[in-house]
Amino acid sequence: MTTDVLRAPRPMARPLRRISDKSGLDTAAGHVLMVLLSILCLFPVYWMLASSLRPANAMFETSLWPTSMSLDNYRQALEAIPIGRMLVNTLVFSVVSTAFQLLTGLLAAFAFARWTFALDKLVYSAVALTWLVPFQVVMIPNYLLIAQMGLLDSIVALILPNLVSALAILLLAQAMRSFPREVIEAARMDGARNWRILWEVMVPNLRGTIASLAILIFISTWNEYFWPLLLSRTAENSVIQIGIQMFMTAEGNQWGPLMAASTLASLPVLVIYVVLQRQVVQSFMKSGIR
Amino acid sequence: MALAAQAPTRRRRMTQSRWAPWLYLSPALILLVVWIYWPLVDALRLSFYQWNMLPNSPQIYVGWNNYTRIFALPKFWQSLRNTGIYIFGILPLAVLIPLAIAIYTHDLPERSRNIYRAIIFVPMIIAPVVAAAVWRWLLDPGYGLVNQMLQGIGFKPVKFLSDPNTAIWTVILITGWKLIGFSTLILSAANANINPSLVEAARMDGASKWEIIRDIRLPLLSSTALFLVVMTILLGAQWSFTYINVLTGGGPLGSTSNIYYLLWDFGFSTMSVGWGSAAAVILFLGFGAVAFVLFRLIDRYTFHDN
Amino acid sequence: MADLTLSNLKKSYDGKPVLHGVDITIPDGHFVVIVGPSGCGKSTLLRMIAGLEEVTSGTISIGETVMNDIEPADRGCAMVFQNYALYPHMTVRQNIAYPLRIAKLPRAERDSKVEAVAKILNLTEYLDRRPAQLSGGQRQRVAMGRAMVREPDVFLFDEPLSNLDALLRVQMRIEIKKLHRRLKATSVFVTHDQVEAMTLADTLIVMNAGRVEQIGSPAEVYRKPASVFVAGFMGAPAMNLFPAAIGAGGALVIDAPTGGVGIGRTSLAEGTPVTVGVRPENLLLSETAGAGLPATVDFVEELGGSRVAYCTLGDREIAATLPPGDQQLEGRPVWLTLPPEALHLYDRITGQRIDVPVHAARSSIPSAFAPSM
Repeated sequence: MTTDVLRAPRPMARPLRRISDKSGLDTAAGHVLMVLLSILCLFPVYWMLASSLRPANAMFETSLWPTSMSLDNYRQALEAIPIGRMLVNTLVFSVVSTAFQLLTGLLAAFAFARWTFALDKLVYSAVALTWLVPFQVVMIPNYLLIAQMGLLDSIVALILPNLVSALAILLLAQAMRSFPREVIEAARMDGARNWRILWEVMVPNLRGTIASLAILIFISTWNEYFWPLLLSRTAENSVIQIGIQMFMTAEGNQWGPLMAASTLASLPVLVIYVVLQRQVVQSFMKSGIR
Repeated sequence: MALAAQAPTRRRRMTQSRWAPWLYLSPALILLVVWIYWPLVDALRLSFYQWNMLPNSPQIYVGWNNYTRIFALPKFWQSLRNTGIYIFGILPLAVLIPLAIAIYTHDLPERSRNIYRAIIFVPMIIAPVVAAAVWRWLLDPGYGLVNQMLQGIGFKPVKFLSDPNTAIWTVILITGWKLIGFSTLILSAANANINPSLVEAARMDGASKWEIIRDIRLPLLSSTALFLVVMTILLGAQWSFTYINVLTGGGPLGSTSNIYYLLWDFGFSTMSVGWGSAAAVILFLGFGAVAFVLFRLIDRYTFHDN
Repeated sequence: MADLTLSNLKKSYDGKPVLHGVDITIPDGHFVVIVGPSGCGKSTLLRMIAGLEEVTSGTISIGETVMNDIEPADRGCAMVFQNYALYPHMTVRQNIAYPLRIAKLPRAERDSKVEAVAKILNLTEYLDRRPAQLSGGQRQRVAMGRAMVREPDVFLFDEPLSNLDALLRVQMRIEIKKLHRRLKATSVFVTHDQVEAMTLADTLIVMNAGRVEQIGSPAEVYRKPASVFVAGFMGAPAMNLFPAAIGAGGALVIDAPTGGVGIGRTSLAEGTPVTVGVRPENLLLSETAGAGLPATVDFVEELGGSRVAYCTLGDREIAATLPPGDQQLEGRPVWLTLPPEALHLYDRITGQRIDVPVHAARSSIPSAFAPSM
């Protein structure tokens, strides 16, 4: 027993320390840090709202709270561009894109989760790779294709390349793969064919994933700028993000209407965020880096 | 049998499942081919032609001409260098600072953490165009709040977006503003996921606060941090595109242009399809190579805490 | 009416065989248990019967119909899965009714069948709950209900009790047995638990490494294990097995530290390599020197109703069951007697049972001494 290292005397006696209290100082410093970060993140959004409500003659005031309020900026913005029409366009664009990306995603993901088939890994990688292709790389051929179809300057053209997304396929495939295989087999034993298994067994159990994905796609599409920028010719057939840009010109900026239009463009997303805050954060954290 | 009469048995043969997966895959695959894979091939083809995008004008085969001329273009190298500056400028904002904040604030009480979480996430859902508009307003040299405050404490107004020396950093800061809260949330979540018994074990072993951070938390956060680094390298310059386009148009003097903006510039401002496509091919190959190396690195240097 | 016949059934994954030609006939109404260690192919076999795995070669027939490529749902089989496999988003009622809904049964008929099944399984008050709100045993009963409601020709059970705690497992075992008496449907039950296997089976099928080792009643399998594998697998503590040689005149000789010891006489030819098996409960252990094989007690496991002594004999370990008692035996020398009539002989090359009687080696059998008797 003399060589037993576990029983050897302790190499060095440490001084006995008291259990340190959770130091209030550290927590306070943490709060300060988070408050500063919060101000940094929220203030620009607040400033947009505040500026949009200032009357034209008080536009350049620096008081935190508008001393007098007016909706003039909104009236001006609405007169300058067809904001209502553009908001509707954006809504159609976002809703249709979301619905189709979910649909094509569910079907494709089901194929990956349900079967092993020849080339399945290859096809899966081929889908995954598209997630990494920068849109700028394919924009010219995409544009030419839309032009050939005679669809320039239309909402349909905006939607077409957005009917499918690798992200939706990959996320749904992941969720479906972790769904217990036995339950699917039980459904087969009970006589359900694939179509039924997908819609009656899989989909009802993936509601959480689907909802979170829907939020993510909707918000990303709502905020989409680049593709509409390529296609838009007229304000009537464009989305709100393009509308905002119209108040920023080389000759000068109409700050008031710009802030009003920005506020209107952000409102739907902010409302969704206020109502579904937890789900929105979660769905972005799962997959929303792009 | 105890229950009731046998149901009539009609026995179906097992259907060949060989084509079924393809049926389910077809909508997605067709769309991906039409909108991504075929365009890739088409971009490759167009990169060997000279064409101005007008349907009636001829497509002239020019061989490698587009490529050699792009490589000879100072603007191309400037954009490439700027792309690097964007990536390295965004990295601290998207990874380092959030990492420090996440570690420093991990023992805040649950309730206040939730409130902070809700607030610092807001920039992530704001549209890039809106962010650009708001920052343009805040940073306006004449009337913007920031410059008014700078003047208030005795500084000269800064031309954030029109001075070639500051413009690129301004765009980087705005890109970082969109990301910083989100990255902090991701890293905080990873930090909160660290098994508390590991920290307790380290305390039993006599580790100090700093030693726990250095030996337990940082190594266990490294895979999440590495993921953010990789995403920033791959996508950082893309994230900036909207701000460049809305705020500076690549200027002044090309100082804010990056490779993505250059592509757009070639393709749609100057209408030279050949140049645009050649630049797209170069970007795609370069991007692919970088992505390949980075994902190999992730595979190699990540370990999982199970 | 619904005999289940498997003939020369084979399965391989990517060319690697996992079932090497299985031949089994299960008569209508029988309760058959397939038992074997994990990886022996028993679950694969069951899933092939269900139609969830493709058949590589051979045939599966139920009654007169070959089922090889009939849809799982149309084979007349119902399956109870290991993890219950209930539909999480449906209530108990919807779960049980799902196969009927797919079969497009009218609502009224569906309801009455579900009620009937629920009554048998004592699930009536849980019909409107979801699986997540049920205990393990209740979920298991719902899974059974979903199988029963289809009135299948054949019930398939894939280790259905392995996720339950010990007490519930015994309870459900009895319930399944009672249910079978009542419904009298052919049942195939897969398990790795030998107690479950012994207690449930009319017919026991022991499998190992993709082959059937033995088919027989539980008592048969226990009393006359057909191979070394079965001998070692069925029974706890496991049967003691050691190599032995046949000496001159058919003498059965095993190695002991003191040299070869004759333990019986057989009609086998001199030099036949054999393995001798003896169950721990048939071993006689004596503290009196001279009788039998000398050994040392290593340690004693107390089981309450009995004790198991683990003895070392040279470099071999031998288990012997003792009646309950308090003697301190650990570390003591003992002498083991192997009663000839309780010995099992196996061909050491093929592992197959050799059915020849073993007679006593000498006329005088040493008096057995069991402590505290």
